[in-house]
Amino acid sequence: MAARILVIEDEPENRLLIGLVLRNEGYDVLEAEDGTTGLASAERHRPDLILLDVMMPGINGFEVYERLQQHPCLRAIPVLMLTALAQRAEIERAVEMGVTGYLTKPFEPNDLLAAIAGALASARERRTAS
Amino acid sequence: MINPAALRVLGADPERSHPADLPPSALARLQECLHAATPSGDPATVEYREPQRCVLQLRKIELRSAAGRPLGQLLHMRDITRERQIDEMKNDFISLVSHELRTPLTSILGFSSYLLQGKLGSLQDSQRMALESVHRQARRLAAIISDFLDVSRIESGRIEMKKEPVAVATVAERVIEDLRPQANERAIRLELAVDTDHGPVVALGDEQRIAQVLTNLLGNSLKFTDKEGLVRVRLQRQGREILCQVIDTGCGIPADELPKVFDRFYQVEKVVIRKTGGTGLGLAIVKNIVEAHGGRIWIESEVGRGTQVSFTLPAAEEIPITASATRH
Repeated sequence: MAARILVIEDEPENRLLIGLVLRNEGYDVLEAEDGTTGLASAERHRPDLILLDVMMPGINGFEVYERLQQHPCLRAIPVLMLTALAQRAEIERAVEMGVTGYLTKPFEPNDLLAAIAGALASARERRTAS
Repeated sequence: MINPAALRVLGADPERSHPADLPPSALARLQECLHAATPSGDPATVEYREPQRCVLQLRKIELRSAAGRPLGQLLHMRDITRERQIDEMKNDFISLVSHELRTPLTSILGFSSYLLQGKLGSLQDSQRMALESVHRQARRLAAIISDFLDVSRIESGRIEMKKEPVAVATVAERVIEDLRPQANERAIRLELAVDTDHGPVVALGDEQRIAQVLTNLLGNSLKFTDKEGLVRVRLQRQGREILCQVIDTGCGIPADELPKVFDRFYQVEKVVIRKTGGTGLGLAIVKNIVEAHGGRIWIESEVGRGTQVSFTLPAAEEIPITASATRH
């Protein structure tokens, strides 16, 4: 069964790109345009992976991640953060918080696909080990 | 003694307050400032929010008699609120630029790249050529934004340089391998020579930034070196420093231009730069990074023979750990 990926990104053009690339590669893609919708979608659909934009109106990516971590059923979902900030402090903050990985915008589709494949593989390994 | 300006920044009314009879709030601030200020090193800062925002830079000077007997202390307070506000506005602007310009570039680069891979159908030659141009220029724009942000952050001192032992040869190897395809395109030999006779080539610094320096310097050398030329990185320890040199057999830089090459936006020949796609910021970034490490950088060149850029980094004492060999 195709892995289900939730894309939480406020920029419609980027959602369009990510959605198109992921669907073309056979993933089951869900999209959310802000943090609140994204959290609701995560709770409802339990995706295998979340792509999470950092800078969004309303609750930002860091806060979304914190709320995911507080949820017993969602905290194990791997999260890849998408950041246009590219400032080390922000990236280090994401890493310290425990996100699975991050991609700095602009990124190439191949880098995105490689990061997703890696995160899904690690999550599978963890599940098998436990 | 206390002057009227100091009374003002402490929140007391200079017309009404007497130095010996400060209001309790001003006295508390004065004591806090005296406690925060240090006699040497970087000046301390304190910030108050009430009744309005006030940021003070503090210096404390110990006053002594000619015989060295302590006489008291002089507290110098400078109101840097406005400077701080301007700095914050600049930082906000930089974050905005970073976000607002990079976000649309994600779609431009992403879609053009995906189309070029043929993932959305095959392309005619003319379509491919047009898309390659879009993709190339978008990458160039991304590099320019990145360079601008780096210069701005480094110059405002907002970039943190780590101080960790870094195996410079490992970093250089990695950078060389990343750039090898570019060198191979024009049959340029890309070499690394590490001299360990005078000690381990381990610097104390920021691995990622050192890699950025080498990438910029090697990128420049490759741009300006003709087909079948040679670009070499030489590394060695010299006393308490690590000496790094990037040497090429490129077109060289005229002597009168050499003092200007580390200036921002400097371009030797605009035509050449346009052809090679530079931003004119690469060497300014390199210089800032090297100096932020406490190192020096200089350049020697001869037109028609080549260029040698040398820089130093502080050597790590002994060899506690080598830098990570993993890719980032």
